[in-house]
Order: sequence, then structure tokens, then C-alpha cells
Amino acid sequence: MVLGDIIRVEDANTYIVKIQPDAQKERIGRFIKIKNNDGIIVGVIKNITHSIREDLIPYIEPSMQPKYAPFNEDFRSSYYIIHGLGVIRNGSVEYNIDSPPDVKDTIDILKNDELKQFHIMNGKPSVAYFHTNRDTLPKNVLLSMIGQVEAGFPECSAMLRLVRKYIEREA
Amino acid sequence: MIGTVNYSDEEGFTFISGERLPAGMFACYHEAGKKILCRVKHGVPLNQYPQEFLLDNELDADEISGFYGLDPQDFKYYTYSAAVVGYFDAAMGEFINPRTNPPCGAKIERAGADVLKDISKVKAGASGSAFVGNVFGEDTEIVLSVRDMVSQHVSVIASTGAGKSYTVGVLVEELLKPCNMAPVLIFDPHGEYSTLSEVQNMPEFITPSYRPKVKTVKPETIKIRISDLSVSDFISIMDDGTMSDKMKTLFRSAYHNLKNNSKKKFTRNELKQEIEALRDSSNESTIEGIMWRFGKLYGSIFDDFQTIPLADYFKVGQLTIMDVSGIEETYQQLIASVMLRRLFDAREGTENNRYNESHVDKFLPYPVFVVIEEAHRFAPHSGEAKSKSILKTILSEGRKFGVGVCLVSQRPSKLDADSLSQCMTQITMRIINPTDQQQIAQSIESASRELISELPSLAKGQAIISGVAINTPALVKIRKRLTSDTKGRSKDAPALWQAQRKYEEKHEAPEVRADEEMDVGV
Repeated sequence: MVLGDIIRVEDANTYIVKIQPDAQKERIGRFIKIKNNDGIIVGVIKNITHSIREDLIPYIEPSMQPKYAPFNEDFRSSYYIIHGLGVIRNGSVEYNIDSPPDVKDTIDILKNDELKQFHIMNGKPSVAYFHTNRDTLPKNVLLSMIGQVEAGFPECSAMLRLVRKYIEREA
Repeated sequence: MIGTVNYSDEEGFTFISGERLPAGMFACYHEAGKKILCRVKHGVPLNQYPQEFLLDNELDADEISGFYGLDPQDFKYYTYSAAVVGYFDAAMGEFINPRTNPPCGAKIERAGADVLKDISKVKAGASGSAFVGNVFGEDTEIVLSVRDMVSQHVSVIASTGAGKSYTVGVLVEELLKPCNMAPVLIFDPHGEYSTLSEVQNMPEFITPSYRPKVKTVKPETIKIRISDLSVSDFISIMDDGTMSDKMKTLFRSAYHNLKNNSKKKFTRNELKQEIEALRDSSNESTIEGIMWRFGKLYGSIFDDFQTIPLADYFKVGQLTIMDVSGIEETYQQLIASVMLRRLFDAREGTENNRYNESHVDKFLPYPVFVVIEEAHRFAPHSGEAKSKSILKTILSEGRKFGVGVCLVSQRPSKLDADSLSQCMTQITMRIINPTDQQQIAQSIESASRELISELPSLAKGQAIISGVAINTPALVKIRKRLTSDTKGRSKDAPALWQAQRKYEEKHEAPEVRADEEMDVGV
């Protein structure tokens, strides 16, 4: 199910997604995927924003407000801040993104089999992207991600339990 | 290469290595064409596993680290602190500290035999050499300078069972080898050195012109000549705490009267007569009191004529083992005191031309070496011992007259600090007691203080050797003794109990039944 469209790509790992009005709003920390020609970019919902730039409203022509202050009119829309984690490309996994998605690319919930595939590196279970993204992602996001990996990968629960403890202390 | 320097300060420098290196190990680096020797002090992991990754006993920390995205190899590196010893200056015959640390990025390598050989002052087998073991973990031999050991004394300190007597055995073996032929005396309160007599028949010690001798003096043959005792010796023997000042004064008068009459050698009766000569109406009871106490001087250890025959005990290439086991401790101190006093007098008199060949038993024209086992009994830190004063004199002045002493103790904290600090070569083995460690730290050279923390973890037969007989302190694995080592070993109590039980079973009379007993003689 499509959650929304990318409306802005801030850098290789950060994208703003406008949530579709009819889409169910997902929780922070949920794994998502962005399909493009290169493969599947796997990311996580880092945050959700919904703000009205009230300070700008008096200075914008009413006719121009939908263009420059869309939040002001579109009360029901929220925006996901997506953090890209890696790519599944030709069946192999990389925990870095060298080709960011385009504007208007859509985001979907990552399926269970894709989640599993994303967490196998060189034939071994791995959450190696945790270490590289530990400073970028807030603790609640990281903990939520651990929960989802644990559900999809019960055989790794012993290791994930220790990773969770570590993140709870350190992050 | 074993590592790369990453930091330095006034304490030394640190380097990073992927190898696990033992504390005390020698390493080196190159500077201006020279190999600079340095000593590894201790190492800590460069990176630590997140503590949470170590909580599960079933899971491997490397596996979790890899799972989490950490490179397990990152935890296999160590930061070692090290200190520069220096480069060996052949002309000076010692290590010269360059007064600089290696630059950051300098490569550290293992010190090879070409560098480690310079730790020893002399070559094995050379005249005046004592091969005592190998640099820990290396093949390089550690050879002590006998000349320095004998002139500036040695201490062998170790807790019980660490190999103290074994090491002394090795030292004595070396002193008796043809390259040394030393006159050695062991003052042995436990009678544990008798196996050293094997040297007399071992090919390692024999040449066509030399064969060492071992003389074991049994406790019952040790005699103290009355005239060898000092006035304070007499008083300490007689005084059981009840001797009045008046008694002591009168006794001193009698003793000095006898000595002033040029009576260098006197008998007990002559001394008694001198005491009696002081008797008058005012001191009847005092004289009686002295006479009553004088009876203690008739113990079997005292003699009017026999004494410790110095010339017989100290011969070139001879080991004399004075077995004082079974003798009361105060008398052991007295024997040590008299022996050392006479020895010092003989060496000092011979060196200063007071004695010549005509002075039998006083002319000793060569340096000697004395091993004092259980040294804390003879020079205690607190309290008095009859032997303490002369021992301190020899330790401080013996160098001039060629009287070398080896103090052996398991309780350095109970050993007189001045005496210990006079031992300029230290062989220190496993010491667990912190007070003892502190005492050692105060008495040894600063360079080896860094190694003090290693003392509790030293294994049996490992020693830190420092001081003047070696060019730099080193962790040494003491070599295997050539003579057997049975006396000093701990008893295998369970095996002995079982043997005793078997013996008893074999010799037990068959039990007599009560009814059989009734038949006997009825």
C-alpha cells in the first residue's frame, strides 16, 4: 500500500514524503521501501511533521498561499521524514545509499520477506546499519526498528536483546 | 614489526599493536642507526566491546559485534605503554638513555637476541659469570656479573613456594663452577641445601684441575668459643629480663679486666675467676646472681677452645653449608653474629695487612660469599637480633673488604630496610603480600619499580632481576638446577598419608578376638 510521495530529497538519506490523504498513518520507526529503477531503497520513518507556517501567512497573497504554504490549507496532510538505510539491489544488500530516490517516487511498507532479505548480509543475519546510523536516528526510532526485526527474525532475538540494551544505554 | 608509536609523554610512550604482549617484555625501535631497547609496561585494549554484548555467556562477542555493524577486528588491538631503556654503548658497557621518546609513527619491533644479549654484563661461561636463566619468553641467556654480586651483595626475595631456595641453589651452582671457584658459605636454618653436595661429582663443575668441595657442618658440631663473644653477647645470653644494671656493670668490669690483661683468648673458668675477684661485702648477692646466670654459658654450643674455623669454612671452590636447623633461634643469631664478626675481622685485617699467613684462622686473602637464609631472623626490621649490627656493618662496608652477602627472605617487610637496600642486586620472585611489595619497591632501583605490579602474578621460577649485576632490570625464567631439588619442595601430604597407612597395614598385628584372648594363660 502506497503511503505517500516524495516531495523533497534533502540528501542521499533524508526524504520528505507527503502522506496521501486516504493512507493510513504509520508509526515512527516503521520500515518502508522506495522502489526505483535501481532496486529497493529501504528506509525508516524518522519523524512525522505537520506544521502551519503562520508567521508567513500575512505576507503571502491569498491566491499564492496554496503554493507557498500548503500546510495552511491542507490540514489533514502530514509529512513523513524518511531516513534511508540501504538498498536491495539485484538480490544483494548494501547498507549505504549511493543513488537517492527521485521526487514523486512512492513509499510503501516493507514486506516481511523484504525485511528478512534486508537483514541478511553475506549469508549472516545483520543489523550493521544500526552502528552507522546510531547518531542520526533517535533512540525511539532505533528501538522500534529492533522490535520489527525481532518479529521478523525470531532466531536473532538473543542478539537483538543485547543490541536493544546497548541502544537503551548509549543512544 | 609489532606496533606503531601513537603517543609519548614524560612517563614514556604508547604504541598500538595487534599482538598480545606480556608486561615486562623487551621491544626496540630504530633511531639514528641504533636499536633503542624499551620495556613494555602494560597493555590495555584499544577498543572495548559494548558491555551489553558480553552479557550472554552463550553468544560470542565477536558475533554480536559483527551483527551490530562493528568490526570484530577492532577489538583485537591493544595500546601498550612502554619505557625507553636505551641503546647499548659498548665503550661504557651500559645502556644509555637517549632522553627522547620515539616519534609518533615509529615502528616498534621485538627486541632480538642481538639487543637482548646486552642485558647481561658478562657472557655465559666467562670468568665471573653466573648464568641464572633466560629472558622471559626468549632464548637469550641472563648472565649476572659475579664480581658485582659479591662486592655489592644480593637479595633473593620471594614468598614461600615461589622458588627462592631453588634460585639460591642456581646461584651457588654458578659460583662453584670452574669459571668462578668461589668460597661460599650458606647459613641454613632449615637444612635444605644438602643436595648441593652433588656438585662434587657432576661433570659440569669438574675440570682436570678443579673439583668443587662441599662441606656440611652439622648443628652438633658448631661451637662458639667463649672468647669470641662480645660483652653484649654475654649479657644477652645471661639476661632473661631479670639481670639488674648492677649485675651488668659488674660483669662488664670483669670482662674488660680480662681483656685488658691482654687475654685475647680466655676460658669460662678464667672469666668466672675474674668475676669472683670483684666480690666484696657490698656485692655478695649480685655476684651470686651473675654466677647463677653464668651457668647458661655451659650449654653444649659454647666451648673454651673450639670455634668456627674460618679458614676451614672459606676455601676457594668450596661450599660450606652451616646447618643450624634445630638450634634455638637466639643461638642461631649468636652463631651468625660470631661467624660474621670473625669473618669481617679476618677480611678487614688481611686487607689492611694486620693479619698474614702466621695468623691462623684470621688470614683470609680472598673475597668470600655468604648466603643468609631467612635473613629477616638475622636482621629484623623491628626488634633486636644479635646478628643485626654486624650484618649491617658488612652490608655497608663489606664491599671494601670483599665480603659478599646474599640475603634470602620470604618476608621483606620484616627485614631491616637498610640491610635490604644495601643489596645492590635484587632477585625478586612472586610476592603477594602488599606490605612486602611496598618494602621491595622502596629498596630497589626506580627502573624496576614499574615491574613491582608484576610480582603477584609471577609464576614459580620467574624472577625480576635488577641492580648492578645486570645492565637493565629483566623478567627472567630461572634456569633448571643442575643439582636435585628435593629438600625445599612442599610435602605431598595426601601421598605421604596414604604411604603411612599402607605401612601401618603391613605391620599391623592381627586383631585378637576376645574369646582367643580368654584362652591365653588361662
